[in-house]
Amino acid sequence: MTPPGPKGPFSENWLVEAILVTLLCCLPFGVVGIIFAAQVNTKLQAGDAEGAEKSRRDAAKWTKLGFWIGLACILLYVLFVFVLGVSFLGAAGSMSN
Amino acid sequence: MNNRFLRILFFTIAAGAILLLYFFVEPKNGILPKCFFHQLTGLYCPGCGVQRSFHALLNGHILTAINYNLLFILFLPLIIYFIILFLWGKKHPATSVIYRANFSMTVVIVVISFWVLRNLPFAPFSWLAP
Repeated sequence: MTPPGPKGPFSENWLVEAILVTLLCCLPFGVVGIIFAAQVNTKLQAGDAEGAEKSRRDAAKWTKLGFWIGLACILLYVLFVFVLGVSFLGAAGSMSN
Repeated sequence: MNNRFLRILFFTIAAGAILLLYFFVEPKNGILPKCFFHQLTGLYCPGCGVQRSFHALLNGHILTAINYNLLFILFLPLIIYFIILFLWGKKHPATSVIYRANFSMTVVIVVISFWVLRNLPFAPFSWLAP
């Protein structure tokens, strides 16, 4: 069993990225990413380089999808709270003045 | 080198802001985002409770942190290792545990089991719920 030589920027199989998306983005996409990331390793170990590359692309796709959708939801939420907060502070300010 | 310096600088500022935020803000008070999956379905996702867990951990309440999200605490060493590699601009060594089929399959099984089990409404599984 020879582990693959990483050629991506930081990791090759997207496992840790997928774990992070699973834990931080509140979406099932990260779990899909973890499953594909695991497939990269099992396929490489079985000598299926082509299949491993396909799984790697799928892992990347689902992890990135989860990341961007999660980030968009968080930004929308922050924007929403900020708008509410500003209007609340405005109301409180006008009351105290 | 310059690239590494910028990356570390940017990361330090972002991480500092996040650490301060989660050290002081109690996530239960409702200012921080809630899990969208939980809001939509009423079920817990594998990441539910991470914010409360992080807050508890930063304040030294390790058992409370485990209670909110066991998975987060389990993966924390891996996440910290990953962050250090990222900051240093290093690739994972080819012998890294994340390239082992056994390890990644274990991760799949642990994450999916955790997700299912924490949604079961009776003890001992309900202890996994945040």
